[in-house]
Amino acid sequence: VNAARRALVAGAALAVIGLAIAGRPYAPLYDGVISAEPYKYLDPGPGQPGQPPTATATIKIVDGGSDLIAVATGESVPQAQIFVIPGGLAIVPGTTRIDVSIAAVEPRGQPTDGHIAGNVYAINVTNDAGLPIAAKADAQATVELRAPDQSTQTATIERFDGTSWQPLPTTAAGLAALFTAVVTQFGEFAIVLPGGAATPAASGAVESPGASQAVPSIGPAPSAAASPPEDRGTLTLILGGAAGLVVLLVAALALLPSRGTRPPPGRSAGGTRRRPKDGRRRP
Amino acid sequence: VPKDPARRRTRRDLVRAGGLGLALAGLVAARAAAIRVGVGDPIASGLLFGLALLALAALDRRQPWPALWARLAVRTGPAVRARAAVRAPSRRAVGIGVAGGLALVALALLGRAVAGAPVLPPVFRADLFPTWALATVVVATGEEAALRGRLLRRLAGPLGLAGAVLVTSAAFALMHVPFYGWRVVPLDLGVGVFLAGLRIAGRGIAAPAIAHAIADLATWWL
Repeated sequence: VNAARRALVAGAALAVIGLAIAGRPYAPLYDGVISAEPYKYLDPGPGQPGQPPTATATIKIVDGGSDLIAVATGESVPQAQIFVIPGGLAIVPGTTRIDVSIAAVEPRGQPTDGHIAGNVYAINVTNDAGLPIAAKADAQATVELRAPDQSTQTATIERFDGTSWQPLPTTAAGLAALFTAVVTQFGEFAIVLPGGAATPAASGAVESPGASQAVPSIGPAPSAAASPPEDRGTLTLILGGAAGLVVLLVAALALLPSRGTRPPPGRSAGGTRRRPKDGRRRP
Repeated sequence: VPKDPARRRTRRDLVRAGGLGLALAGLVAARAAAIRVGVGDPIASGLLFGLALLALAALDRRQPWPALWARLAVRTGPAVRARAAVRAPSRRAVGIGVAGGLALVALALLGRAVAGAPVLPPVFRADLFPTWALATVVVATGEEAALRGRLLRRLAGPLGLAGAVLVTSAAFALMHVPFYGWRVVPLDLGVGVFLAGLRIAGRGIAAPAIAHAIADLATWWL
């Protein structure tokens, strides 16, 4: 009982400290199974999935304000999402409906501080006159984008303001390479990774294996993490295969009977106690 | 081979623990590689990972029937012996597990409130929930069976209970690094120790498995 109590208290204390250090917004993720399907590109390279789905929604006006907005593209995990709390949009009087759309679009320019990873998404929120609507500053309106590479842990969401890409304060959601930025204006958004693009940036297929077109390098030289994707994929497969082999070997060893290990008296090989022949239980 | 039975048992436990550790590392690497390369459906690979962990625990226990299957098996032939070997979790263990799971969810909510998380969680496809939930529960149970079940039992003799708790918790934290990065290590280390506390209090893996499953399932809504 004491050991259990000590472990529970120590574990809880360590977890609280760990939570503070990790600083994850979505802290409950101890080991969720993430069903992130492969990234869908607007202009896929060879062997890449394409045709990223769009998302549209019409939002009602409730008590003179916008209703809850939670719109996401159809992948699992969605590649682009938008959330706005009820009343979070700055709508003009007389607005009767709000249209929300999310669609992958061709980039109208390249960021100067890195390269675009994945698609550029146009996230538009308009009123019934087709005019763009902004979010209130205190509404915590959120844009969430998924990076193509599941192992991406640091990235910046940037917004294209019509002439250049502007970085937004970005938070890693803590799962499935999702990144979040609080916004007040909508428009075109993309995930930007540091360093130059190793593969074409035009379609956003910069982080994906299999892309074969060349593109001028932007910004500093690619880091080791941005090594040729084909090599990384092959290496990963080799490592995975080797790991699988280790598992099979260990499993085979575990199945083989151990030399010189006999079940202790009164116990079967499966660990069950055998009852004495006279039928009485042992004390 | 040492002649002293105690030393022989210690040696055997350490060898088996090493084997379990290697196998765990191999399974984690294989799953990480599958996700990285995009081979197969992620839910299916998660399910396979969980089943492989359960199989690993069953192999180490030298019990041919996984516990759940044995409980469900018909009362014929070897299934009867397997049923006899498997104990249903006590109400106390279930209660401890549920309480532990709710504590982990509360901890997550606290962290989210302190961190000032975005207003709404990510949207997942609702039609995937049944298979996602199944895979999540299998993975949680598999991790508990392998880590807090077999590995802790193997190490408790040679290292003592405290040492075994520390090593299994470190393994628990490290096996999540390929999926979530190094920053999760302190949190998962603490959660690992906490789950080990549930294992000791519940006298079996039922309590930590239930708590682990509750905490993981909560990620759908949180």
